[in-house]
Amino acid sequence: MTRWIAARLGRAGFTLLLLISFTFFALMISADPALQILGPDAGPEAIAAFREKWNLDKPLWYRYLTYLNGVLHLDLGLSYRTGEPAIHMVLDRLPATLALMIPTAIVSLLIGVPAGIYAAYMHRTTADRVTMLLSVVGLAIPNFLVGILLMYFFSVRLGWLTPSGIVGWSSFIMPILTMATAEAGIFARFTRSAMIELLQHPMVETGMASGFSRWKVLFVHVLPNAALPLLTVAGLFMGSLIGGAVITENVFSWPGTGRLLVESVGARDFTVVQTTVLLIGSTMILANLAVDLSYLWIDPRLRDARQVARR
Amino acid sequence: MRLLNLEPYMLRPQYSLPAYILPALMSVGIAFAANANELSIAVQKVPDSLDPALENSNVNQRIMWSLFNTLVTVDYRDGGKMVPGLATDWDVISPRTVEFKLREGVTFHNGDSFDAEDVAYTFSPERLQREGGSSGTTVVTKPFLGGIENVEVMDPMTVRITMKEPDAIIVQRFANYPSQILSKEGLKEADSQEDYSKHPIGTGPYRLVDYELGEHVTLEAFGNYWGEEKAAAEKVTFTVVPEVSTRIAGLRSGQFDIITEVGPDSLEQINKAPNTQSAGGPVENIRGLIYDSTNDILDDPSIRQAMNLAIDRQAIVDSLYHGRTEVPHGWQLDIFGDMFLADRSTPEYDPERARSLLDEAGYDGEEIVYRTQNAYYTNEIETAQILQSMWTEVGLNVKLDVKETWAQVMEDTEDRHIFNGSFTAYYPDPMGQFWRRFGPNGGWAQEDVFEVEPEMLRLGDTLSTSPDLEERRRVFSEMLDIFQADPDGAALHLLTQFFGVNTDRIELDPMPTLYLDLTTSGVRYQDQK
Amino acid sequence: MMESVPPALELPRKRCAPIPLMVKAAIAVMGFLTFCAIFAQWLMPYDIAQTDLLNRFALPVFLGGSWAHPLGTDNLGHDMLSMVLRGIQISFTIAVLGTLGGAIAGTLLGLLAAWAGGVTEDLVGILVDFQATLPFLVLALALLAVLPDADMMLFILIMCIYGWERYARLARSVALSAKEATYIQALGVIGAPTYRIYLAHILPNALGVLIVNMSLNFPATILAETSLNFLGIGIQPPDTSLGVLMGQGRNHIYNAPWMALVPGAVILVATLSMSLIGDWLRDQLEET
Repeated sequence: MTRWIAARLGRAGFTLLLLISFTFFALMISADPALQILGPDAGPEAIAAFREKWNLDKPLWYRYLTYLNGVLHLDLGLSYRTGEPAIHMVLDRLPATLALMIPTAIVSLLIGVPAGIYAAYMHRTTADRVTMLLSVVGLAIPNFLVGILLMYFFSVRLGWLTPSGIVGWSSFIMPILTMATAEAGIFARFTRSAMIELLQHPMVETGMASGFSRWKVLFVHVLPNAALPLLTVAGLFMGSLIGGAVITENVFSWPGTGRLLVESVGARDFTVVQTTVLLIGSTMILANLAVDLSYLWIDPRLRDARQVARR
Repeated sequence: MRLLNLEPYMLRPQYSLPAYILPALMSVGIAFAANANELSIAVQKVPDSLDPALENSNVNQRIMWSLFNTLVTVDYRDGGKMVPGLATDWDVISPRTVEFKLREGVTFHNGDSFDAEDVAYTFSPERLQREGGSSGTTVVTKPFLGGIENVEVMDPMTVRITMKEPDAIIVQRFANYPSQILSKEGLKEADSQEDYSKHPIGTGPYRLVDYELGEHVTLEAFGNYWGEEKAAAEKVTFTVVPEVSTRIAGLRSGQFDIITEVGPDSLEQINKAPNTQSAGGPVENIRGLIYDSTNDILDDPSIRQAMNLAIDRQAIVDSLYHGRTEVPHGWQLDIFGDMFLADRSTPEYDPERARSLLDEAGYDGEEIVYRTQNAYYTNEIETAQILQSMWTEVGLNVKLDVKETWAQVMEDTEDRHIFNGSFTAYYPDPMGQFWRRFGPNGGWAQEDVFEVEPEMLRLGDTLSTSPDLEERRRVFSEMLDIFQADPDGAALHLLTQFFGVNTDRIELDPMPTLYLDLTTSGVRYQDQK
Repeated sequence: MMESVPPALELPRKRCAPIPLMVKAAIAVMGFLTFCAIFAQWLMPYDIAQTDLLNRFALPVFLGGSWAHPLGTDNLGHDMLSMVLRGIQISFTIAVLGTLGGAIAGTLLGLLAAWAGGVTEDLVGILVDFQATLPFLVLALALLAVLPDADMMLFILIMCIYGWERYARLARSVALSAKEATYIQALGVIGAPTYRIYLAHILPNALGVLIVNMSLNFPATILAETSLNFLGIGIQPPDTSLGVLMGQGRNHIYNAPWMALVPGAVILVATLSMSLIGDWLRDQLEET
């Protein structure tokens, strides 16, 4: 088991190193930012000064090592655009993004999981098909379309909700709904297929035969076991949440990391792009690692596997 | 070696989630910005730096008028007349020298009182030629104030400024961008020049309270403002809302009192709603094209002439701008006052002559590349597509090449033929517009987009240095004639600046400039009328 | 999305349950859209390069406009029907090429990993791990930011990245279990060349799952493409796509809502139909 954990940790560490190198070399192949930042009127001296200031005139290996060292100290360089530490700019925007992602995760779990259970329970009935159709619609409809439609009705037509930024708690309603349409669809589908698989398990029939009600069997025996397949999609879910946040924040002018990313891409502020990518990537690595490790105490099969390995 | 030192980031209070979210959650219900004396403005962007010397952009100019004053003020509501600002009087001692008598009793936002030392600091090399931001201030300020030789403090309330060469617009230079006066004391209170440029101290009707890049800029009425027209609101917030549709939604729902950068096509929609009206119109800026004449195709002036003749400018104004801007009389604006040549006509539209010029030049469908960005200017890609069809009409083969950055637009390769530009009249004079851009010191001549002919150079010299108005008018007219026959670009129409205003709350009277007047002469609250 | 891989499955040939009405409708819709995509050039009533300043924002028929422009015109007087047809063509081309590219690259890498094992397998595994660390949208934004001049080819290449790792995983696990099958081992014994065993005997085993995965990946690719272009990053006018049309349309959502709603509806119909077909295919596969 220790070896297994060590292997997982090592692999995560290696992926992290790969991610860091990727962000560095992605920056390398980028066009010289000097002209872009300085504007079309900049003269050669200004460009030379800029390159010197940002170490752009040093050899590659020197810059790579400097960069690695910087990453270790959480010093990811200064924003080309503002001269501020990039990490400050990104972390400043993080709370607003989390304030969208966490409630969205909760809301979509609260809608998706019950919907999935219900559909599984009503397997092969009209109710099942309608629920699944709704979940497909949720997945298929583009995030930005939902956002624009919500904004049109609730802000412009009805004048109930503010369409941009964080003004009060009501500002959270539309962005969360926008993101949750897709996420709830994902949860509903996964819960349903996991439940259906488990419902075919002999244990369920045994339970029913011993006189438990179908619902009781569902909740007491099946649901806990469905947690594991749900856990396997946690990483996927997280990625989809982040992608959703990028779009949604841009539709609703939300002061979060996703908007900062798109803004920085537009302004070719590479250090900030790099920092954002690094932050998102390492979060995902940690999330995937946490999922793997949590199998250890959820999944008995893995414990068995350990014993097999000992033999 | 410390590894992964998270501490500084984890413990700073602004990063802890509850501290950030709770105030937002506690603000009750639909908290629209309807507080009586607050002004909520949605902008597409806030500046990267608030120091005029560090960023020359429309987003920065919009805020500048509230934060700072210049020695001489341009009265945009009275034909661009120059009136006393932080200087009560001025005297052009020689073509190279001007002396300003400063206003007594003016206070900066930090409580420091205004005197000659502040003027000297504002125009010192220490400020105008420093490192900082990403580029330093030299790049930005050189075209405007690069000619200053020295600034002499004669006494605490008198300053004498000498230029390196005779300067026909010496007073205008200190009435316009980027001559806004900053406090010298303010620099000492700041951590560094860089820090100071993030919260500069001026004398304007509002003082800066909060500035969050990419999010908002907050101003507060300055009680000790010297001017007659005081701040109209107690508090002003410029909130970043990049999407125009979101800005309009915010205006209609009552979240914002003013929204900026409204496309001309949305004006009608805004006017139709009961509680909103559009405002604004043309500003002192010509939207134009630049032709690269250093390649095989466009080096022939008659082809460039034909391109100009093929453009139906009025059609662009009538359709894309719903008639709410105008076609200029060549490279000049009526705010030039005495220098405005009223008898010159607007650029000619004559597709027939364009065709015959192309025939004579032996043009045979060679591909001409037109580099454009998507939306740097209002209606940029739309205008480009329309121009392309107009040129196709007369037989020109123009290909659109959509770029994402200025660096890509300006890249000096063989296929740089046509690109977009705008010509702000920083000074109400051809020196501030035509000659600044098409003269030998402009960025394009420096980057070999075209070469300035010797005859033009000679006339330009007279234009820059002659104190004689009649001579300058004659010279300018000659220059425009030469340009027309051998054009390095095309004037299309005046750029516009449109706003949406919540008329239940306020009335907005914008000036024909990028500066936004938020004093009582520009903004009136409905309930205080 | 389900990563449970049934070993050695093929698409059902016999005993097909009747196709549900919904899926029939979806197949019809996809057929129609594909027809539009292929024959857009001939179906377009107007030239999309030509602007018509006197005819901007003409109303579509369903809002009381004329049949001259059934879907109205946009802010430059382009016929929206022609624009949408062109948009379908480009978006479908990108989605098809992106999906195919990702499927081929992913499958080959997966087979390679199963065949070579050892370091190669680890390398592929690391690439898969790396892919899982960055949501596609973020990766694509970062790449488009640093690559100097984004053109259509580059954009399609980036779309190929989307979802390749899933094919790799599927192909690898199918190949690993197929390797154990007696007849495959027998083929090895009689000396059939390895590449033939993999391409002619093992790959067909994986085809079912791979096709299902492609059908589920296709709508996601369309969504990714439209999202990127909606953010204004990717294809630039005068080229267009459904995402570009949406992005332009949102600036006019209040004065000309059809500019965004028509392409939006097409995107929704396309992704929805394809998802329904994909779901149905997967159900068929799982039931055999």
